[in-house]
Amino acid sequence: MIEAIGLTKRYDTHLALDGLDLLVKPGEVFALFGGNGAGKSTTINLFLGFVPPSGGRALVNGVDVAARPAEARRHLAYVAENVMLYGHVSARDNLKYFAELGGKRLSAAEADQALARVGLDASAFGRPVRLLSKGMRQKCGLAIAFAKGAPALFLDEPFSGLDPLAATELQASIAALKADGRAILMSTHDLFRARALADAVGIMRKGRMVRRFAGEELAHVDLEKVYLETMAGDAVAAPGPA
Amino acid sequence: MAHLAVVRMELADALRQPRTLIVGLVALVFFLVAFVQGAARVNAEIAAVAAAQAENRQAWLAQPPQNPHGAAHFAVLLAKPQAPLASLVAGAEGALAGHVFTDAHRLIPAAGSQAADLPIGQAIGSLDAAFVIGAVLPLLAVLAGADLVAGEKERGTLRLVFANPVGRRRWLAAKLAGRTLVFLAVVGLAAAIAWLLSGGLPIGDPARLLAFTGLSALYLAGWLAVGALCSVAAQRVASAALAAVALWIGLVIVVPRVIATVAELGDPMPATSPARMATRVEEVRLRRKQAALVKALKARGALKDASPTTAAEGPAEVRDAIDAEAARARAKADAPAEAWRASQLRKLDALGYASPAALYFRAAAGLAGTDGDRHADFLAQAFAWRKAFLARLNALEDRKVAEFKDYDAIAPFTFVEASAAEVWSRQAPRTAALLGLLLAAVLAAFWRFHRYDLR
Repeated sequence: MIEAIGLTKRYDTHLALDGLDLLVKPGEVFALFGGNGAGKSTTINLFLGFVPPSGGRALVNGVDVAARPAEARRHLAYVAENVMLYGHVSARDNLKYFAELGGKRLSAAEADQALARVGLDASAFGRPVRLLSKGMRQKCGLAIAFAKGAPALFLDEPFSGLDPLAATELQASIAALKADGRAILMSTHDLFRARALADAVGIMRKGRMVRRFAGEELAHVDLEKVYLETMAGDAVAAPGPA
Repeated sequence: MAHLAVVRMELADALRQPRTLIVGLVALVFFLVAFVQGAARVNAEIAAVAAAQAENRQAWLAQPPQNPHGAAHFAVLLAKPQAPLASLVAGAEGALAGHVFTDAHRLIPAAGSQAADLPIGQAIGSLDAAFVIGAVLPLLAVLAGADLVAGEKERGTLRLVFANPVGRRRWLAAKLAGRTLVFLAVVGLAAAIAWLLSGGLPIGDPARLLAFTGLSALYLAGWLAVGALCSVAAQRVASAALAAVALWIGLVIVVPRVIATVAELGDPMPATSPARMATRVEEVRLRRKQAALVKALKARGALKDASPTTAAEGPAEVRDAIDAEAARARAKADAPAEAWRASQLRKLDALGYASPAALYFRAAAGLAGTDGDRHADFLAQAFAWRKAFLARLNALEDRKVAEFKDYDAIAPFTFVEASAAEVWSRQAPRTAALLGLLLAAVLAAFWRFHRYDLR
């Protein structure tokens, strides 16, 4: 479970995140939209414990990240926009390494199983990561998250720069993790795939979540239109129901 | 468990990195050149000394007077054996005399000077193993360190690492340990291969070699830690590398030069001619005094020989008086130069702590035995030998030198090396300073990394 309660981050005079409230339950995907500087990355950095909050709380599986960062990190996994692992080391060894950092020692067979689970071709398991395509590396990132078995998953622009086929495959992998009961918070610009995956979406602007859609409302709203209006500053800056 | 995984990954990654190969090749080439040159230098010196000794032996056997008086006049060559690690560290040997000629009149000519034992001038002048380790490899070490954290930041692996329950200090410690291990292993392997390729460099003393290796490892680990400090102070590898190279230039090239300049400021080297002139004057005065003494002794019938002219003959009190006066006169004549040398050494010792390279070069020369301290030991032992030699000739009285069948039995000079404990104790402050530098760089890196921006 991922939860933010009045989460705020201020850098000197700049308010990067302003009282964010959200809840992502197990088996749910929450998609964050917004332009550059909207607060998406700040939100993820706060959940990862990379920056301390100025106010409010970030909880991962009920653990306050600021109070107990090491404990919180046991319950989360993170996939970057551009997964760059140790390029000269194989996908398998990278996965085993990061799994061990997460507290799990995997055999080669278990590592292969995790890589296969996210749809990576078996021929890529033993190849140096620098020789893999971006889509394959993103899958490696997801496999690391999967192998860790963390209940909370943070994806930072996972579809960025992927070709349609790779993006579709990655989408299927994320859907599998969702079906596995993980709570997933994802920042993205891909409205199409977000709609396909997410149970709720939020549009952020200048550190605030100004629009939020879930359930039936999400199924029927024209996300692209609302997003463009919000970014242009035309939308009413009032949060909708979670 | 996690930090062992970090070390293992560092090793696995390094084994596949092209930069590891580059470091190894650069080290191999430099070591090879240094070893070949070191072996050639040492072999040439050994051959030169052997030739001089053979010539001296022949000359001794063929000396015309064939009596103790003549033998006292005759110069005997005392050779300083090659330092235990002379092939690895040229040190100040190039500026110090490798041998002395001694006879009744001259105490220790061609003595050389400890003032030539400068911290870096000697080292830079000779492409030996100490130069490779002291000046070349630090550049590779700081660059290896500069990539340590900033490289992970650029690759994006840093965020992925710390999305796990991994402590910053433990991770940095494991990472630094892994990289240091790899760097030292690669450099050590390159040195071993170069040693084999060079045909096996003569290594005189395994204990000193071990100490030299330990000192070098400590020194290079310190430079890697300095690179790591640059790495945690920057967000990008290029910035970290730039800072690291600037530090290398400063501490290896600029600061030692500044040290040498500052040491001489307001304390110029005294002209040698006044001292020499003074010595000459004293020698003439002594000869006259000696002749007067001899004349007086002859008049009293105290001397058996009809024409003694040296202090090597006559009653012991006369010899001792002349010896003592000669020593006083020379000490007085050499006092300005000696005072300057002592002052320079004190300054260089103190200022040397401003540069790890200067510290390393002096400590390495000390361990190798190519420094002024060992030379001073040699001069002291040569002086003691001369006294014993003259005493023996005096005891021979009228016997002919030709009766000595074996020149080697007359002039056996064996230099006694300082004990390992003594050598270590001489270099302990410098080694401690290098260890302090390593610890300071590591602690500063830890302190800075605790506040490192992971965003």
